[in-house]
Amino acid sequence: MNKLARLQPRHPILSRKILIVDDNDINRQYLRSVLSDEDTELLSASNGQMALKFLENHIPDVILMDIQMPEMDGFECLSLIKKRHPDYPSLIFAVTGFSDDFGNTSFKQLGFDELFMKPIKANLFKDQIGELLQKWRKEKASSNHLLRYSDAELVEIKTIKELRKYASQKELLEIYKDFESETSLALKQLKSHIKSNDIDEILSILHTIKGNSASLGLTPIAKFSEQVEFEIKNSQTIELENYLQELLALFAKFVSNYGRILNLN
Amino acid sequence: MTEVDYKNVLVAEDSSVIQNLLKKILLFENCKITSAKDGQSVLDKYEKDDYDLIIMDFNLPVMSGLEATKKIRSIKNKKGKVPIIGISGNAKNLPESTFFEAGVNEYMQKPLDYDKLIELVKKYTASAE
Repeated sequence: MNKLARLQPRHPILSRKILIVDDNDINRQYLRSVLSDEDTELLSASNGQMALKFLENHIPDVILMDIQMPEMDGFECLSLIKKRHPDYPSLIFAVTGFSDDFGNTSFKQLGFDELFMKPIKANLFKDQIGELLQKWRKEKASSNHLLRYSDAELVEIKTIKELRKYASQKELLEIYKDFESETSLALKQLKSHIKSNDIDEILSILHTIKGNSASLGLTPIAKFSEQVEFEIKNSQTIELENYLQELLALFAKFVSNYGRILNLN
Repeated sequence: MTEVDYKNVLVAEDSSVIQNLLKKILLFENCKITSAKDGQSVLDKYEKDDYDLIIMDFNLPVMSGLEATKKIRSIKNKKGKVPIIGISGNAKNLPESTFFEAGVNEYMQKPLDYDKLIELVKKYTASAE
């Protein structure tokens, strides 16, 4: 895990998935219009049950939680999320119009990561969400928490949106399946080239994996391959075997998640 | 639309992931894609048939895309003037001017911006009619 911290991309990852939980249609629509852009995928739930249902199939980066909702309020929904998905990397923000919702207890004590008061100021809100998310991603990368990757970290939202313009759902899945079969073959070859220490072949395979994964928005795989390529070229003596294990682990994460992420987007 | 007027595009790329991806994307632009996986087969296919456009990865086995581009440009007739869009992950960190000196019309760095690529494909296949 620590190695990944060192391999943080130079540019922040903008890709993000945000779940809006609010019983009021107008509030949901307003937040959607404020947050909508090419790097963002938005999900909205009109009650707590629906939000929990979403979280069975999605791992968002941010959850915006209204507090006063009928049947299940924001506090109850929050505690159920924490109980059911303790390994989710999501930031959970309370959004409320009533300052006395929290009485004398702070939102942090209750388990929220931040509190936003309505009315929401459009531009400021979007920037704040972005900043909090970048900060959180940095912290997460440098800690040893065994958190999963969020959907948007595994596959760039922008790339999926772009590809969807040109490819049907079926074709999109085929494209990623192609990547899976080609890369799994490439990783086997990589393993044997590492054994025989054939640096040219190793570099060539890493370069292909990097290009393919970046073209499909698979940032963790792309960045990792790039970093290893870079370190080899700079003739640093590195433990290629360890890197291979890490690359295999990243690839396995992709394999076990992409079907879910692409089907339900 | 009984008869679709399509464009012949030669895609030179050694990875079948990118090959298939481009096939799917360019189908929308009425392109008929022929694939070549190394620089020599680009030249072979190019000699045999007429193409409206070549999309060329530079990092190809047997003969590099850069070399293949230079060979095509050295043909001194209409055939040597086919538009070429070069694409590359630029493994060797070459300056962009290298690609233009070899004779590409456009150069795109990987990861590909698909919207931009479609725009370029449209630009270079539009004038033929």
